[in-house]
Amino acid sequence: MELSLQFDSWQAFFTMQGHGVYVFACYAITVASFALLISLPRWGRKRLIKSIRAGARRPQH
Amino acid sequence: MNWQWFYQLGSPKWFYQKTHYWQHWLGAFALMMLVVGAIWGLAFTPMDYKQGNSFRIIYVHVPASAVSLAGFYIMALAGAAGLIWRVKLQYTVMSVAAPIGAILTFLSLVTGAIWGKPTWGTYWQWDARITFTTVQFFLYLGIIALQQAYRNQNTADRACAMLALVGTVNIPIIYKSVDWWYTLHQPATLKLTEKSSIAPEMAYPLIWMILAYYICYVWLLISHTNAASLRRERKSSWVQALFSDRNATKVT
Amino acid sequence: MIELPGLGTVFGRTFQREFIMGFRNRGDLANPVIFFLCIAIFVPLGVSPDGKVLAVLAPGIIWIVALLATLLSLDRLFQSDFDDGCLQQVMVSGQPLYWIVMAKVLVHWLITGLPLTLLSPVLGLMMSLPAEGYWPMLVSLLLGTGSLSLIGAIGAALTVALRRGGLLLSLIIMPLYVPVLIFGSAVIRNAIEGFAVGGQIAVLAAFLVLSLLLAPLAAAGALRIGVQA
Repeated sequence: MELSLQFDSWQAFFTMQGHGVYVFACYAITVASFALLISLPRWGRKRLIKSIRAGARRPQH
Repeated sequence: MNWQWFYQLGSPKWFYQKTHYWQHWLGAFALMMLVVGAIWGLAFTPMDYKQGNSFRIIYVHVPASAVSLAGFYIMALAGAAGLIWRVKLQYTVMSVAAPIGAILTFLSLVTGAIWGKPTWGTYWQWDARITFTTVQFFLYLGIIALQQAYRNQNTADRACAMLALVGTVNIPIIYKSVDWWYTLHQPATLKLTEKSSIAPEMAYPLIWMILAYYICYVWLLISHTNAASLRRERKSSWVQALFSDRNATKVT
Repeated sequence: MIELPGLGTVFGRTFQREFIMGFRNRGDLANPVIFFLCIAIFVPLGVSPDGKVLAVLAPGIIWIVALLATLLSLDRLFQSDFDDGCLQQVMVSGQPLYWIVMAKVLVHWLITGLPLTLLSPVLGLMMSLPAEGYWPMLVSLLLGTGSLSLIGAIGAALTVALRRGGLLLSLIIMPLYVPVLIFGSAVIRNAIEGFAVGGQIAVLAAFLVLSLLLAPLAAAGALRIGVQA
């Protein structure tokens, strides 16, 4: 199998003969979804650390 | 026989300690595979003679459908393991599989709809696959909603595991029914993905992307599970010890 | 040791009790039927009074109405027994929960599914359903509403411990109702168009058998989870 670049110019790559809008919209949404999936546990972890440290600073009974 | 290893499989602390360090490497590998696959699909794959360049959407759409469906089975298996052996970790895996699966199903729906516009001339078509994916999305939403509704974590877990099992029994039935329903009404359109007509130059990047999505799914499942375990066990000594020491090195 | 009554006795007594309770709440009893008739008036007003249009819509509308009416009545299936502690009593009594759930679902079907089925010719008449559609409609509803009640029991059991479980119940159950709706309405539509309907009726019967076997099991498991909460 031989790999070759399918587009002659950046212009051709971005327009994709009129289908560029649809294709790049899909890829953008995919990137956004994965970004969300990756960030969710990180946010949760940060929130948790904050709450644990806030709890530790409070005087113990 | 020593069964300790088996019970360790159910311990969130053990799992966290085992996976915390290498999960980042797995994540980096998964993201690299995704980027390579995306570039391959976008720029180096010959375009489809029928659908033109819009065909390139297949590389983000089909893996999302495949993984989100497989995710439902993984969720149900984890739930079943939780119900049978009453172990915490498996319940946690099940509970995080629902939002991940829902987001991936949503991704599959949205990319499918956008793909429909250049191919069918409309964003929404009641095609068998799209209809089934919509139903699957609602199955995921039901599990998330049930999870949110219960205050008690253990009850929520067990109820969700039960619902996931019921859903899994129903998924093949729903799939077959929707398929049959679609052939009954037969709107004359061309299918988005025709198995037989796909050329190897187009199929290899697709297989690559499906693999990349699966690896990424495993990584996401691990990192979400660990984050959820920390939240669920925040009162326990091992989590407190991890974070409460203010003199410790900066936690990443 | 205390002698436990036999299965038949347990089933019979639960059935009897539920039946009496069902008939004491006459308001609840009439709700699904009233809902059914409301739709029969709303559809012509909202869509079109034209008989040709209605005849096309009739198979689908009749089935959707039956489905929604079942869904509306489900959240009361286990609720009152859960609230007054009956359910806990039944569970510690050592009786098989499967048959108790079965008896409750059977009564639920007798006071919602069966009346809806018997009333459906009236709805068919109002929706100008072609004459060939009536018998298949009755058969499909008779088989299908049974599955609807049984599958619905799982959702009702899963949400029994929640205060406001109604909407959640609909969300959980709706995807599971898809196959029954597809085959149920297909029976009527195919009969009108003059095709054989034996296959689809057999599929509906298979759904009923499958849900008879599995749904009470799942519902019983879910009830245990709810009561232990």
